[in-house]
Amino acid sequence: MKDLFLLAHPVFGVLGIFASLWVIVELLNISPHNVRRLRLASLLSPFFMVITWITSGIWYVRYYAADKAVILKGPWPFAHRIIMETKEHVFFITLVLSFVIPIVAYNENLSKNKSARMLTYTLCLLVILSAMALEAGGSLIAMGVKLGLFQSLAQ
Amino acid sequence: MSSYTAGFTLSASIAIIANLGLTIFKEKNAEALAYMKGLTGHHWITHGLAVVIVFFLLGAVLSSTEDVHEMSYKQLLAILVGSVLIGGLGLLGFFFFE
Repeated sequence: MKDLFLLAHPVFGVLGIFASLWVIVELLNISPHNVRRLRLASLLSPFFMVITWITSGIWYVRYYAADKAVILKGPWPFAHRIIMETKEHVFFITLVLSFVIPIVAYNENLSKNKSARMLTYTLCLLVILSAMALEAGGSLIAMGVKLGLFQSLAQ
Repeated sequence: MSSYTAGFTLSASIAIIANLGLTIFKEKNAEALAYMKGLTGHHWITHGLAVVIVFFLLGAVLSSTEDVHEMSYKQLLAILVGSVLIGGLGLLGFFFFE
């Protein structure tokens, strides 16, 4: 069961990335005909990021301690000390940015307001880039666990 | 520009910097860390809730503030991008040198 939380959080993070990408695609083709779809997409990004928050939080608070111990004893202690510590706090940047996307989408006339479109593009790009950095960080953390386990097996 | 766009975009920028500030404060202050742990059972949960609450509360307040309405999109974008860079790189730098 615990592995479900570990696996679920990056999946929902990627879905949040895809939702932001969907907003960008709709923006590039904006017209009065796709505003409704764009607004739906704008709601999905924070929705998936909140699920990521919950699933990652359950994993981190209840189950991560064992992985942390393995990382710190292994050859890549920076995977926790730098990467995980940074990741768990950078996530809140991604989360907060994702909340702003639907606020702009629902309160601006994106088909007529170029500046509002630029703001929306920027928000979506920042969500995508920061979330991808978090995914990369997660890979490094997983590698830190793996190398730590290899080292303990070799001893 | 909608007042909500201006208010919540600016609020996001402030919340992102507050996130950095709270991280440094709690990591440097064992009592603060313990207090945050005591509130919800884990300091990270308290931290996240604090940042999100700050974002929504400040967003609501700033959305009704006259000065914020007069900001241009360029100003908002500059503040937003700047706060993300400072917030993100600041966190990485803090833990790298900590």
